[in-house]
Parts: sequence; structure tokens; C-alpha cells
Amino acid sequence: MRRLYLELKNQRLYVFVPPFVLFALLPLSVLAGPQGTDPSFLLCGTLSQLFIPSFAAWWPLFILKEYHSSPARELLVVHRSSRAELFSRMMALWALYILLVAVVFVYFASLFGFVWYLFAAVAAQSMFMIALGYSLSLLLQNTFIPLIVNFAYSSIFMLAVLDSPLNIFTIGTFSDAGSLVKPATVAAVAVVLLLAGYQAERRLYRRSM
Amino acid sequence: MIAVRDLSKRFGRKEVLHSISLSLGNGCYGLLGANGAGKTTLIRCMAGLFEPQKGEVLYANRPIHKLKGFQRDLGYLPQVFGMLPELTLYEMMDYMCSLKGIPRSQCAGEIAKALEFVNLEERAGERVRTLSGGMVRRAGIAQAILGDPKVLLLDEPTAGLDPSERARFRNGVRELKRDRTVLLSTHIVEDVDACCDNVIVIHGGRILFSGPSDELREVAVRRAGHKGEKPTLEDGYLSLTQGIA
Repeated sequence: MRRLYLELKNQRLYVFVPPFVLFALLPLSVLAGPQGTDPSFLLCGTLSQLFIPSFAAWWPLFILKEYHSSPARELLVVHRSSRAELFSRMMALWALYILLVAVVFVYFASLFGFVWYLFAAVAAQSMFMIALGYSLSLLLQNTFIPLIVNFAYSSIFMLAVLDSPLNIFTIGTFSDAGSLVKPATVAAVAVVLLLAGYQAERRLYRRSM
Repeated sequence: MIAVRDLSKRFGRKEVLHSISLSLGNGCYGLLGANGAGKTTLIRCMAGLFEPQKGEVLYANRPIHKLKGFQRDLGYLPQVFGMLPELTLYEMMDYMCSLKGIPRSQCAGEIAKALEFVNLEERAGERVRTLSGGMVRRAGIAQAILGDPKVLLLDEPTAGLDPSERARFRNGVRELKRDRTVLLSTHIVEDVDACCDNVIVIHGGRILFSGPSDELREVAVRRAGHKGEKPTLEDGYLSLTQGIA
């Protein structure tokens, strides 16, 4: 945990980008809504899926950058304590991010009532985005391309290509348990991606110095 | 303590190290060689960064990849060092303590000792990013000696150091080498002359010489017919490598 704290501290102002999005940009966007109307849960669902998953991979990718393309890399590899060092980092960062998301959703619950199906959906989507960033960065030994892919994916599939089978997002009100079918599939794909990344971490990382 | 047995390393079709065998006990060993001779590759193999195609690195007679505790006994300074630049020097050292598995209760003492060794204790609160190149190099040496490692692999440790810091480093290595193995890779022969009792000369991925420093000086006398003053280590090194393509 100490190392994770210092790695986050090393990001300086960039570390505050996800909290800014979660605690300022997202709630204000939901409250602003279309002119002359009350905030709607449909809009909240759309904006939550647009903002939350796309910034989930922010901290992980900045930390992975140290492991891939900084002069620190050799020492991080030589002294790493386990072969799943990065995998456990990704899990810890996902948990931390979802904790912050939960705080925002407590506020949304005060506005819209039951919002926890939507919360489960964005938690699964966030895990997917972290898993995608993790596995791609290990395969490409680079974090810039995964960062671009991350934002491009969110923008394209949330705003333009809505009905593609590759789309992890859902347009709807998340009012019943049936709306969790797609997020459950997304979570399963995220687990597969994480395991692929874990295998890549074990096999490729050391040999690719 | 640490040994290399019949080690070969290839990158694609290019064989960088050819069947290298070495055995290093306590003391300071200077690894000398021209640019591209294979010094850094050899050190990286010894640190466990590279998996060799053939041969192995042994620590306490066991292959390092099978030894979980090897990393704790290892201090490593890479050729390029620059870590977590937005942290203060103290925080960076704290990070390294954690990375090396040094108990939290010992970290403050270890960091103070290491920073004193490289004369950076007064810079502990400054960001790594704001330190000069020479200071970052010294910080690299400090992180390598954290936790009192039994094996120190230092790749170009004095590159970028000013003369007084180089002298300080040499004195420090004389202290360190008493009860541990120090391998100092460099192309600065004076550093090896000042600190090391043993020299390894590598050329084209092959070991040309491995033995006491005095023996390398004698090579100058035997091969080049050195006359006059006592030959230096550089004379020995040059007479050994001259004429080899």
C-alpha cells in the first residue's frame, strides 16, 4: 500500500483528474441536464457510463508507464516481489476507484432513488477498461496507445456506435435486475482480459527488457 | 558467492555474450571493457533481468531464478537511473526500501545511512526531478546499498560524478568491499585501479582476462614490453585489448 501511495503521489496534479471527474464534472453535468428540465436518471446513466469507465484506467496507465518506459523499469523488475505485482496493482486501483464511485452514487441515490444497478454496471465497465489497458500495455510495452484506445473506445461506443456487439455500454434506465445481463457479460470479459494480462505479465515482462 | 557458469546471451541473431564463466567472492571486482563489449548485458544477466539462452547465474551455489531471497541480497545500480521524479529523494528511497522488502521499522535508519554514504542527506527533502545528473547518480548508488546487500552490481556508478564525489565513492567502495561482493562495471580504468583488487576484462562478449589487478599490470610488461615506471592498470588493459578487432 505504501508503494501504491507513493506511485500515486508521483503523478502530482494528474492524480486529481479522476476525482475531479467523479466529484465535479459528472454531478454538475447531470444536474445541468437539458435546459428547463429536472435532472433525469436516463441522463445520469448515460453520463455515468461516458465518464466513469473512461477515467478508470487513468491511474493504472500512469503507474504502468513507470514499469514500461521510465528509467525506473530495471529496478522495478529486479526487485519486484511477485510475478503478479502489476496484476495486484490493477485490482487495488479498481477497488479504490470504485470506492470513490460509490460515494458519488450515494449522492445520485439521494436524487434518483435506487441507482445500484447502474453502479454495478459502471463497476463492471470500469473493470473492463482497466483490464483492457493492463493487457494492451503489457502486449505493446507502451501506455500511450492504450490511453488513446481507452478514450477512443468510450467516445465511439457511447456516443456513436450504440448497437454494436462490441459495445460494453447500455442505453436504458437500469430499473430492474434484467439490466445487469450485459454488465455481467462485460465483467466476465474483463476477467478474461485480466487473466490474459496476468499471463503476459508473467511471460513477457521479464524477457522484454 | 556469486558465479556465472557457461553463460551465453543472444539478441536475435547477435550473440552478445559467449560462454562466460566467472566466480566472484568477497571483494571488489572491476569489469572493464569498451563500449558494446557486453558489460551491461552481463550485469543484467547477473541481476536476473535477462534470461540467458545458455548457462546460469549461481548465488550461494544455487541458480538465482530458483532463489526467492536473491533480490533481497542484491543491490543494483542500472546504467540509466531515474526513478519517480516527482517524489522527494527521501520518498524515493522509502519506495525502494519497500520494494526491497526492508522492514518498515528499519527504513529510516537505512535511508539516513545510504544518503550519508553519498553525501546527499541534506537533499532528502528535494524532488528527484530537481537534482543534478550527478546527484541522481549518487541517489542511484544510495538506493543500491539500501538494506546492506551482500552483492552489489554497479553499472557505470561514477559516470557524471565530479572529482570530489568520485574520490568519496572510491573510499566508500573500499569500506563496502570488506564483507560483500562488489562488481563495478566501467570504462574508467582509474576507478577500478583505485577500488578493486580484481579485474575482469571483457571484449566482444568474451572474457579476455580475469584475475588480480597486479596480474593485469604484468600483462603490460609481458605483451607490450612496457619499460620504465611501474605499469598502470590502463597499460595492462590496453596491451590486452590492442590489436583485437
